[in-house]
Amino acid sequence: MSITALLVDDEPKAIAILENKLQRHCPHVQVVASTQSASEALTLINKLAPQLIFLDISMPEMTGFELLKKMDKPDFEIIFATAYDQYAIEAIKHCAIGYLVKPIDNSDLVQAVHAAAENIAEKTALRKNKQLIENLGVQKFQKKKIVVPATTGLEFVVIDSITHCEGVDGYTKIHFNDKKPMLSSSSIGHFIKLLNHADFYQVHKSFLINLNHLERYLNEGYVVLAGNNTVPVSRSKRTDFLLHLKQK
Amino acid sequence: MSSISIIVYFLFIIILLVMVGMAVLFNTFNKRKNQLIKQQLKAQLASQKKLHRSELRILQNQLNPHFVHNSLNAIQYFVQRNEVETSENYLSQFSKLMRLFFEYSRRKKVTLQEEKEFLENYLSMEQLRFEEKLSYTFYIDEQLDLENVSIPAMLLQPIVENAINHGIFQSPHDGLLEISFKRAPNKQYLEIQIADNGIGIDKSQELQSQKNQTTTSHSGQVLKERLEILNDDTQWDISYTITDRSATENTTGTRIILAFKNALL
Repeated sequence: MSITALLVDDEPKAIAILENKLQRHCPHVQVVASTQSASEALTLINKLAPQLIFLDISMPEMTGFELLKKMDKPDFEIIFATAYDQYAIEAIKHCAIGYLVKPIDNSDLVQAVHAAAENIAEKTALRKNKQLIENLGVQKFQKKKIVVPATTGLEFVVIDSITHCEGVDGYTKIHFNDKKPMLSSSSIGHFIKLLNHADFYQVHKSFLINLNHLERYLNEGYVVLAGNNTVPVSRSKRTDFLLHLKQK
Repeated sequence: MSSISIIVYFLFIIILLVMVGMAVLFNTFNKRKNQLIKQQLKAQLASQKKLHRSELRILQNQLNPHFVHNSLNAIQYFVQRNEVETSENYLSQFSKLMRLFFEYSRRKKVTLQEEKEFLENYLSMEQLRFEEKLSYTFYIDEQLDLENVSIPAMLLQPIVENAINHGIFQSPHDGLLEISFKRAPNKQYLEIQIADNGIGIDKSQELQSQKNQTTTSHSGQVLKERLEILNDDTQWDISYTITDRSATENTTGTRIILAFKNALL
């Protein structure tokens, strides 16, 4: 099944590179148009309604994010591209949207396109894109929402409501302060990367805790979190954990 | 008791009192001295800490990862097109630039000749990405002895990079960067100017504050800190001015003037 795609990047070379890679590695992606101008991209999106947009983040006139904000109904899959922008990548990851770093690795490209194709079938783009736009307007880390693929579909979770994440057989159980735990098919490692912030600390190989919900540290190597949840702190992490608490 | 023994007795008490008094005084002085030393040490430590932090920030600002990845991406273009000669040339040029980056990062100063070549090398890499949107000119005073005048290493490149990324990149017009090494007008010292015709510092700062809610340090701040550290060393006495060209000249853009008051010509 072919996917229609629009390529947006202010550098003509970057467009040429991507087009060439797509021809070689993702022949089912049909590039319907490409543009160097973000404002032209807006017109092209409305006219051609592509299923997938490869969108450069750092562009002069308006950034990829600003372009997204200008859309009334951004119901297309996006794969963002950037040479280097930690801040932007973090924001994209929070919303489970695809991204590629330049120079683009071929297998990363294949994977991102594969994920996009699955998402197109599930029609999740609009909600995720809107969440990204919302998050970009939120300053406080704890007030942002992350998008979590759950057994029941996508869940949108306020970071602040998470007390801790627990790795269970390759899955992750997410515990909240205001509702029942939820099971995600992603591993704990995914959440450790996703919630890479001073407010979160991995106290144990299968426990990541939200320090905002830390109530007590017990000397025998446990922490008590909101809701009276007790989580072990591994021996090797204790010194560093206490230091982290002090410095925070 | 005889009067003599009373006198001796009183004398003894007085001497004792004086001795106790001296001991107390000595002790207080000593305490105060220790306090002062402690305070001094603390202040020294704090200033050292600040210095290290600034130095770290300078180091972090020297090699922009964005530039590295963008350059490699642009080279990939020629690889894809099977332009072997061009690919090779750009790769070796990029590698040469990286070598200089690493070498100069460890050095305290470079000659004007070295700096000029380094900037040219850097700018030609940026041109690979920006194509005709970026051109540059050097104005070098013929009387300058480029081999024998030195400036701090890695001082100009971040300024130039900033002019490209925040001035020229944001502008819809073709960018022109002018770099001049010359004697300051009516003075005996070196002056270096870096001028771009981009959107100008005022507009750029406005854009920055709109976009990055999280990044607080901007390049002007970094330059200021760098010069403060350099000027602490008696070897340098560098002052700078940044002006938005639209205020005084018939163009948009930013002009940075660095005056090297110890680099006498």
